[in-house]
Amino acid sequence: MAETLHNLLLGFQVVLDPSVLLYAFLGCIIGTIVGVLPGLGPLAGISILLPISFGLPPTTAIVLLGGIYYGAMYGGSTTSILMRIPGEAASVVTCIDGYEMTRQGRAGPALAIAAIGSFVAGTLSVVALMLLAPPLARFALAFGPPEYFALLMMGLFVLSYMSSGPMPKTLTMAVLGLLLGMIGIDPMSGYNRFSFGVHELSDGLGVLPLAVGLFGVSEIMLAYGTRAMRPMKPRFSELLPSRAEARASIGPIGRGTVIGFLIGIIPGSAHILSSFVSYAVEKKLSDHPERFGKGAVEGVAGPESANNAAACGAFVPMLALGVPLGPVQAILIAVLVVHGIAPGPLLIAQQPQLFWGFIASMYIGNLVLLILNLPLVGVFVSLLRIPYTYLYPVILICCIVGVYAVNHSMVEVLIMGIAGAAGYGLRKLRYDVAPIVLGFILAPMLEMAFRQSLAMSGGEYTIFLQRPITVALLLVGAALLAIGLIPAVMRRTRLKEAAE
Amino acid sequence: MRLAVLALSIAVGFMTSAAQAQDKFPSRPVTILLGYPPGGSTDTTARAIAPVLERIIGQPVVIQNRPGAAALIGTMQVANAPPDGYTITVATTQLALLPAVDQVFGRPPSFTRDQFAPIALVSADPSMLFVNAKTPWQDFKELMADAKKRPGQIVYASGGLYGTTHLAVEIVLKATGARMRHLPTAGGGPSLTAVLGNHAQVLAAHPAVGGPQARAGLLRPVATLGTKRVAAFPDVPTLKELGFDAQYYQWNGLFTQAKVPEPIITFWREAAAKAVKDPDFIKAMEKVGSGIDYLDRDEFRPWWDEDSRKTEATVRAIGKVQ
Repeated sequence: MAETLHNLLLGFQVVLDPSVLLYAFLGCIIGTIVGVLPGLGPLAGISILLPISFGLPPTTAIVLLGGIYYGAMYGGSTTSILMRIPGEAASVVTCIDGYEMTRQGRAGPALAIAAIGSFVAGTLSVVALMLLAPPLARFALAFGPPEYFALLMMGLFVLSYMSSGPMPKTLTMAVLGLLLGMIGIDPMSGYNRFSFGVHELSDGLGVLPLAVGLFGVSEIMLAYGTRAMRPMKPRFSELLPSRAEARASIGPIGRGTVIGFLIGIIPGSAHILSSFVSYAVEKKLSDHPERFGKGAVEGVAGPESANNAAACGAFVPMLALGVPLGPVQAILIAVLVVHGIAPGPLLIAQQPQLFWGFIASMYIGNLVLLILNLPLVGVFVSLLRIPYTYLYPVILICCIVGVYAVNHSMVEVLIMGIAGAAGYGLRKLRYDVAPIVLGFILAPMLEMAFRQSLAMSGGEYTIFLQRPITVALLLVGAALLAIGLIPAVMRRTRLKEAAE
Repeated sequence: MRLAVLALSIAVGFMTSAAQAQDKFPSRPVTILLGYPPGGSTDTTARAIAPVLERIIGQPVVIQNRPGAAALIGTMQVANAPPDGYTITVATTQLALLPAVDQVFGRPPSFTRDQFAPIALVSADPSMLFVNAKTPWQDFKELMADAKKRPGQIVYASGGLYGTTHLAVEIVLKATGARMRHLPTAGGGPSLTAVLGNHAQVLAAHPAVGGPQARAGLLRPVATLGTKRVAAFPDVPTLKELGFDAQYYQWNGLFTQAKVPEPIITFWREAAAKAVKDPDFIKAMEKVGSGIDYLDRDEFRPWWDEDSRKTEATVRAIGKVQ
C-alpha cells in the first residue's frame, strides 16, 4: 500500500508538470467535443489526432489520447439525452430514458446525473485499475471464445429488457438487428455475405451510422411531423437533480460501476454491452419497472456509469499485459511502439512514470470532466431553447459530417439515411428501435465466439461443458431464463385451474 | 475595355502554361494513401518515411488512411488514382493476396497486381513462431513431433483468414507436412490474447510483437522464419538450420501506379534511396523495432514477384475454408 502511494505520488509528479497537465486538459476538452458531436465516436477522435501525438513525448501522448477517449465517453450522453441522438455507440441506451426526461423538462437533472455517475464510476475504476491491474489482466485472459460465447448468451437475455413495448414487437426488432449484424465478410470463411458487391458493406453496416440513423434522424423526422413530440421547455431553476432523483441514482451508479468495469476488462468489444446490461439490471431490480422507457432516472444513472467504468476497465489488459482489447487500445499501443516503448507484461515495471503518470492523469481527467460538464449542463440545456426550425437542420448536418468523417465514406452516410427512414416508419408503427441496435451489436460477436469455439474444439460441442467459467455462465443464464419463465408458467396453471 | 480583359487573360494564360512547362515534379503536395488503419506496420513505416521524404522532395507529404474490407478499399483507391506520381502507397502482401482471394471465391478481381509499380522495398522482417510458455514444447522439433503425432489437434491463432499471420503458419506447416487447427481472430491483438490465454498454443508474429511477451516469460520463441537469426533472439534457430526450406517475411514497400511515367518513377526511386539512409528515418524504424532492408526497384521487382507467387500458391492451397 505504501508503495502504491509512493508510486501514485510519482505519477502525480509526472502529470502536474505543466506541459503534461495542459495536454490532459486538452484531451478532455477535445474528447467532450468528439463525444457531443453525433456520429463521431472516441475511435474517430483518436484516429484523427493520432499523427499529432507521434510528435509528443510518450507519456504526454498517452495522457492526451486517453483524455480524448474517456472525455468522449462523458460527452457521448449529451446528445442522447437532449436530442435522442447517440454521440457514440455506448450511449444508445441513454437515449431511451434520458430523452424521456428531457421531454418532461428534466434535461438538466439527466445531464447532471450522467456527469456525476460518470465521475464516480471513472474514479472508482481508476482505483481498481491502480490496485489490481496485473491479477485482473490474468483473469481477463481466461476469457477465450467459449467463455465469451457464454457471456454473450446472457446478453441475449438482456435483449428482452430493452423495450417497454409488447414482447412480440421487441423480439421482432431484436431478430431484425441480429439479421442486420450478419452483413459483411464472414470472418471464419472469408465469404462476403449480403454485401451485393458493395465493398464498403464488407465490414458490416457500422454501429454508429445505424444508431444515429435509427434514433437521431428518425427523431428529427418525427419532430417535424408532430408538434406534440417536442420536449417541454426546461426550467432553469431545476438544473440539478432533486433529492429523490439523487437518492434513486446511488444504487444504479454503484452497480453500473461494478458491471461496467468487469465487462470492460474482458477481451473483445463487449464494453459496448456494459450500458445495455446495466439498464437491464436496473429495470429488473426496480420496484417499478414500468417507469423505464418513460423517464426513469435509474435508466440514465446506471448505463452512463457502466459505460465509463468499462472505458477504464479496457485499459487493464493494455497496461498490464500490452495486449489491446479493442481498436482504441490498439491505437494507444501503436503510440507506445512508435516511441520505442515495447508494450508488454513488463511495462509497469520498466516504465513506471508512464503507467503511474497515466493513472494520475485519469484521476485528474475525471475531475476536470466533472468540473467541465456540470456548468455546461446549463449551456447544453439552453440549446433546447433554440427554435427547432433552426436547431434540427444544424444537428442533421452534424450527423452527416460526423458519420462521414469516420471513414470518409458516403456509403455510411447513406446507411444512416436509410436507417433514419426505416426508424421513422418503425416508430410510426410503434416499434422500439433499441432492440435492433443491441441485436446488431450482439450478432457478429456471438457468431464469431461460437464458431471460434468450434474451431478450437474441431467441431465438438462439448467444449462448452468442459470449461468452468463457461459452464458457470451458462448455468446463470439458464437460471435467469427459468426465473423469467416462472410468471408465465404460473399464469398458465392458474388459468388451467380457473378453467377447471 | 473588353480588349484589355482579353489581353490580360491571354497574358495570364501564357504565364501559367509557361510556369507549368517549367514545373518540375512534384509541384504540389504528395499523398501516401494507405489501405490499413493508423498504428499498423504499413502506417508506422509511412509515418517514419513521410517527414524524411518531405525534406528530400521539398513538398508536403500527406498520409491518408483508408482502411476497410481487409485493406481492399484503400488499395483499390491507390490502383485507381490518377497515374501522375502524386499518389504513392506503402503496401505489403495485400497486393497479391486480395486478388488471389477473389480468385478462390470465383469473383472478378477488385484490382490486379500489375496495376502497381514497385519503387523500393523498405523493410522485411522475418516472422517468428511462438508457443505459449505453459506448453511442453521446448523447441521447434518437439512442437512438430507432437503435431505429427496428433495431426489437426494443436491449435494456432491468426489475426484473420488469409492474413500474414495465417499464411506464415500455413507455409511452415506445408514445409514440415504437419497439420494444425486454425483459430482466426479479429486482428493481431486478439490473436496474441488468444495464445497468451492458452486458448490457442501457436502463433506467428513479428519479433517486436511477440518479443516483449517472450522476455516476460509468457511466450516461447521456437523458430525464425527468415534466412538469418533475429538479433534480439540469437538462440532461436532459423527454419533453414532446422532443415526446412520455408521463409516468411512481413515486409513494406513503396509503390505507385504502373501507368506513372518512367521519369517520375525514377524520381521516387532516387528519393527513396536517399530516405532510407537518413538518420531520422533509421532512428524512427529502430524505435518501432523494424529493420531497414532496402532494395531498389530493379532488385525489388523479382523479389516481389517471388513473394507474390508464394502468397498466391499458399492462398490457393488453403482454398475455401469449409
